[in-house]
Amino acid sequence: MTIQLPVLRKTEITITGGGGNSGDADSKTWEITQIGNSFMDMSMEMMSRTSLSLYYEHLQVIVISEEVAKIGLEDVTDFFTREPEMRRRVKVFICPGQAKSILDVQPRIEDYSAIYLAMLPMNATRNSRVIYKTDLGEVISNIHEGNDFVLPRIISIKDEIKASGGAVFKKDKMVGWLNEIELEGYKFVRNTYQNGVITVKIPNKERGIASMEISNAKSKITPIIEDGNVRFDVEIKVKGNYAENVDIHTHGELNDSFLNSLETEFAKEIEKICMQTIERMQKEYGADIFRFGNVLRYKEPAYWKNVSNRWDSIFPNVDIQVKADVSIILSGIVK
Amino acid sequence: MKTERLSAVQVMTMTTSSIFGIEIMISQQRMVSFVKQDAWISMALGGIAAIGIGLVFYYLSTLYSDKDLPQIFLHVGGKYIGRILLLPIVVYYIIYVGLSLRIFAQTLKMFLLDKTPIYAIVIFMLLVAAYAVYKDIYTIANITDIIYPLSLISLIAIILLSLQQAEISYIKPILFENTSNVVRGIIPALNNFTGFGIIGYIFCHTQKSKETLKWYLVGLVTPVVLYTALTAITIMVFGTKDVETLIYAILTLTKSIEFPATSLERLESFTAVIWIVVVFISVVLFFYKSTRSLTVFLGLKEKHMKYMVWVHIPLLAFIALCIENELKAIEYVQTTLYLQLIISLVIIPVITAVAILKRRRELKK
Repeated sequence: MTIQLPVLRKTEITITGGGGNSGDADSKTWEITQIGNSFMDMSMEMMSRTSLSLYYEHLQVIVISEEVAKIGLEDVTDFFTREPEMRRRVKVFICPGQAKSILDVQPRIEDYSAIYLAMLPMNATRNSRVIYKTDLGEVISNIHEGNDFVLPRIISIKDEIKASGGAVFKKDKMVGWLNEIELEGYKFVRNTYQNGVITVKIPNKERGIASMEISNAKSKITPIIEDGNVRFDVEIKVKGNYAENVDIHTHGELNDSFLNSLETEFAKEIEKICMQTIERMQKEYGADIFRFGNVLRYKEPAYWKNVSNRWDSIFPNVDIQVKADVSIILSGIVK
Repeated sequence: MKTERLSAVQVMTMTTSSIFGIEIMISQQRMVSFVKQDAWISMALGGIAAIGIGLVFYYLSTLYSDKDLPQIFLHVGGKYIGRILLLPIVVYYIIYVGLSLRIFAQTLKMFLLDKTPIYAIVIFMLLVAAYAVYKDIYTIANITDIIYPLSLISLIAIILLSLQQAEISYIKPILFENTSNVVRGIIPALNNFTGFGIIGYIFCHTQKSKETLKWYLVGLVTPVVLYTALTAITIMVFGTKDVETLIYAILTLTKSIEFPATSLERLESFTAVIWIVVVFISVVLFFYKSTRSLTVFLGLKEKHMKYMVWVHIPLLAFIALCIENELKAIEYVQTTLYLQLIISLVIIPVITAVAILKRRRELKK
C-alpha cells in the first residue's frame, strides 16, 4: 500500500526505517509505501514513520492496480467498509501496472494527484468518456448485490493522468477493459450518460463530418418474454445540439431535411456503439455491466426467480436490440 | 397551585421527540434483514399500528385527565394488581433508557468522539438528562421546543440530499412474494415508535383543549412518515444486501452525501451534533417516564420524585456499562421488543377496558 500525504509546509523530511518512500524536500506530497498483511497493520506501521496519524476522513481516492483488481476486490475492501472514518464517496480507480505510478505524477493544475483524481469524475457532466459514479459506496453495493460493474481506468503519462476507458468487473473480479468508445456505449445503455459529443460522416456527401453535442440522453430497457425466452429492447432518446461541421460548409443547407438525415445518422452511430459494447460484454466477458438482469428482477420478478441462478450462462446469448431516437434541438448561432 | 400547562403544540413536539430515539440509527439494518426491499412498507404499517395504540393511550389518559399513566394503573387496578401491571412498564423504561445511553455512547464514540471512553459519554449524558428530569416536565417541554425543529430539519435534509444517490430499482419489485414478511415485519417496525406512550405521562399536564388530539396525531404521524422515508431512501442508496451489513445505516447514509464544496465534506459531524441533542431529549423523556413510574410504583409522594431521579443514575449507568459489546447492546434493544409488545398489546388494552367500566360506574355514582 502506498499513501500519498500532502506536505502543507514544504519542510524537509528525513525518513528512516523500512518500506519505501518518494518525494524530496521541495515536493508538495510524500508517498509512503508500506508492506504488510492488512491495511490496519500497514496504517499502524506508517504511523511509526511519521509524526502525524493517518486520518481517513480526508482520504480522497483509492487507486487499485490491475493485478489486485483481477484477484478480487471483496477481500481487500473490508477495511474500507468497516473503518468508521472512511467515507463512501471516496473515488476508486483502476490502473494498469503499479498504482503508485499514478500518485507519482505531479499534475499541472493541482498540487496533489489525489485531489486531481478526486475532481476528475466531476467532468462526467461534460465528457461522456468519464464515468460519474466511481466511488467506494458503489463498489461495496455492487459487490454485496453481486452485480457486474465498471470502474474508471486511469493511466499516467509524464505529468498527466488520464481517464481512459473502464475496467470491467464480473462480481468482484476484474475481467478486462472497456475502451473510451465502449464506455460511451455503456453509459448510454446504463442510463448514466450526461453530456458528450457524437461525430458522424455527413450523409449524402462525399466528404465532411458533423458533431452533435448531446445535452440529454435517457434509456429505457424493456424485457420481453416469448416462449420462455427473454429478449431486451433498449430505447435511447437523445437530445442535443448541432455543434460543428468540418471539411464542409452547411450554411445553405441547414434545413429540416438535412437535420433529419443527420439525426438518423447520429442515431445509427449511437446504436452501433451500444451494440458493439453489448456484444463484446456478452461474448468476451459474459459481464452484465448494463444490469439487464436487474431490470428483469424488478420488471419480471416471476421469470427472474427461475433464471437468476443461471443468469451468467443465459446473458451471453440473450437477444438485445438497441433503438436510438435523436432530436437536434439547437444549431448554434449561425445558419 | 401550578398554573403552567403544556400547550397542544408542545404535545406534538414531545410526542415526536420521544419517538426519535436510538432506533433511528439502528432500525434499518434489522428491518431490511427481515423484510428486504419492502422494509419501508412494514415500517409504514408498523407506524400506523403505533398510531392506533397511541390513540388507546390517549383515550385512557382522557378517562382520568388529572392522573398520569402510573396513577391511572393504581387507580383502576388497585394497589396490588395495579402494581403488578405497572411493573413491566417500570422495568421496560429503565432497561430502555440504559440501552439507549449505551447505544448512543458507542455510536458517538465510533463516529465523533473516538478518544472518549464510553463510560464518560454515558455518565455525562446521564447527569445532564437527570438534571432536566429533576427540574420538571415543563422544563423538558421547553427543551423539546428548541430541539424539535433541529431534528426535523436535519432528518428532512438527509432524505433530500440522499436523493441524488438513490436508485429506485432497489426497492422493486414491490410486494412480490413477500407479503407475509411485510406483515410479520410490522411487529419489529412497531418497536421503532415506542415513544408514543408519552401522552400517558403528559396529558394530565396539558391545557386539555380540543386541539390536543389533533397535535398529538401530528406528533405521531411525523415520525412515521420520516422513518418510512428514511428506510426507503437507505435501501435506494445502498441496496438491500448492503443495508443488511450496515449497523448504523443512517450515519453511513449521512457520510455518503456528496458535496462539491469541500467545506461541507464532513456534513455528518453537524448531523452527529444535532443527533446528540435529539437522542438526549428522547432519553430525557423516557427517563422522566421511568422516574414517574417508579415513584408511583413505590408509593412515594410527588415531592419525593426528585430523589428517584438520583436513584436512577447508578441503575442506568450500570445497565449502560455492563454490556459487553456494541452488538450485544443492539441485540438487547431488539429483545425488549417482546416486553414492549406485552405492554402495548396486552396490558394497555386490558387496563383501558377496565378503566372504561370503572369510569362509567364512577360517573353513575
